Amino acid sequence: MKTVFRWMLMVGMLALLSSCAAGFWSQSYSQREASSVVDYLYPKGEPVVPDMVTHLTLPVKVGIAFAPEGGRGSVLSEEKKLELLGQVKTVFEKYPYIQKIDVIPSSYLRPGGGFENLSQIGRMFGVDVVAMVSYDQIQFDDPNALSFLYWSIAGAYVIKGDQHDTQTMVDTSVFDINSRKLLFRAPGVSAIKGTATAVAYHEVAREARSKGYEDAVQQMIPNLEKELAAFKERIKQDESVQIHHSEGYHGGGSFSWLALLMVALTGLTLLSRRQQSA
Amino acid sequence: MPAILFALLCGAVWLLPAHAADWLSFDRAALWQGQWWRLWTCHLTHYTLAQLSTDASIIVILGFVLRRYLSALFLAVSLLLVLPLISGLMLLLMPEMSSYRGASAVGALLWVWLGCTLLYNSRVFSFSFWLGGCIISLLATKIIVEKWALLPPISNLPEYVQIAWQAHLLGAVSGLLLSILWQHSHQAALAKNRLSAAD
Repeated sequence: MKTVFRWMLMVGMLALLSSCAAGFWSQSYSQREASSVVDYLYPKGEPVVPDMVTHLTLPVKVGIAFAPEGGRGSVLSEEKKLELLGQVKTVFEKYPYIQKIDVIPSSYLRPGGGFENLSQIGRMFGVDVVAMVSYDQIQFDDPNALSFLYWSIAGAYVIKGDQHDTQTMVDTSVFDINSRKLLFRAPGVSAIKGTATAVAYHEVAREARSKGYEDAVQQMIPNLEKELAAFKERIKQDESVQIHHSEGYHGGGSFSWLALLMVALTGLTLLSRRQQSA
Repeated sequence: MPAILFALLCGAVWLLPAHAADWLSFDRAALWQGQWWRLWTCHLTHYTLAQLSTDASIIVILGFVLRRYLSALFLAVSLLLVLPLISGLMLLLMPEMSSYRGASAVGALLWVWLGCTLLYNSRVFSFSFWLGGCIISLLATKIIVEKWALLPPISNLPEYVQIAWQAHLLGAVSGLLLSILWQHSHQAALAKNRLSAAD
């Protein structure tokens, strides 16, 4: 009788322990957060781009902002967003044909605000062109083979039985506010994988998501520089984009290589004729 | 020789730190505040190495060809007097231009001077006569194309800089006037020499 009682006590305790540990046992799941330029600028659906010539007045005034996220909030705090936008700003800062770059806080952008909201921002900040940064991040959590050790309470603290996979894409789209035309865009992606204990998982996952954004922005910056350089070349041929110079412009006097070639040929001709006559 | 020295000075200014070049370039506000040295020095400053290379090379070639026809002293004095005149006219006539860099006004000046010299010193319809006319016409075409933007700009300027065709025009007009002045003073000197030889 005593032995039966002991067995029953052990089974009972084991059941209690396992129910505690079950709190750490997790199923595979994923979570996603995204902000979309299309949802922000074209809330009514199909994008309509008026067929008009884009007039860019140099030097250009640029605003940089994160596209507002539609649903729940993001792991990105406003402070973090401003920090990342500051990194994007450095790409534009080095070009003398960009007069000023303003970082626009998220509170000024209304979800689904469209170009009406963008025009308001343009007037408010005095910018002609806006670089919209959007993102799409998905994080997968899968328990690995070691997670069965969560059945012991201690295992949940020391065994890294959860693995996460964080995929991030950020994209900067540069729009001319007046003509509503997309001038150019540049993407950046990152993938972060890692493991964590059940207890520390949420903290580690949050850090991975934050780092995912940082890495994606870092990867986007060279792409943005490349696209900006390509855009400079493209507008020389593109008749739908016209460049104007504002008052207070920089002037320069210059001859082309062709002129140099002609002068050199003239010089050579005169010298050779002089030698012949001598 | 003065032209080569001018081109060397352009190169030396390019090698200066950026803030030093800023002190030498054409800056409307600074000029009105009394920094008048910029009227001379703005022609020595450049935005890009490519702009400097083409401008300086053209000045060197034209200066080398012209050395046979001109006195070095006359060219040096002419440049010293004409350069601030060109910059001063730009200051007065182009109020919307806040800054300017480039030696192309000097290039245009020498270009027209060479063209006119060839026209003066050659028989009518000879090869040199046609060559002189041709190089003046080419410069005139360049200025017209720049003024009315008839073709996409072909220059070594950065995107944010607008071609100051007025500087080329002022340089060309200066070249024309200087060539006439030189020709007359040269002819007068020759006549004087002939008279003194006859006496």
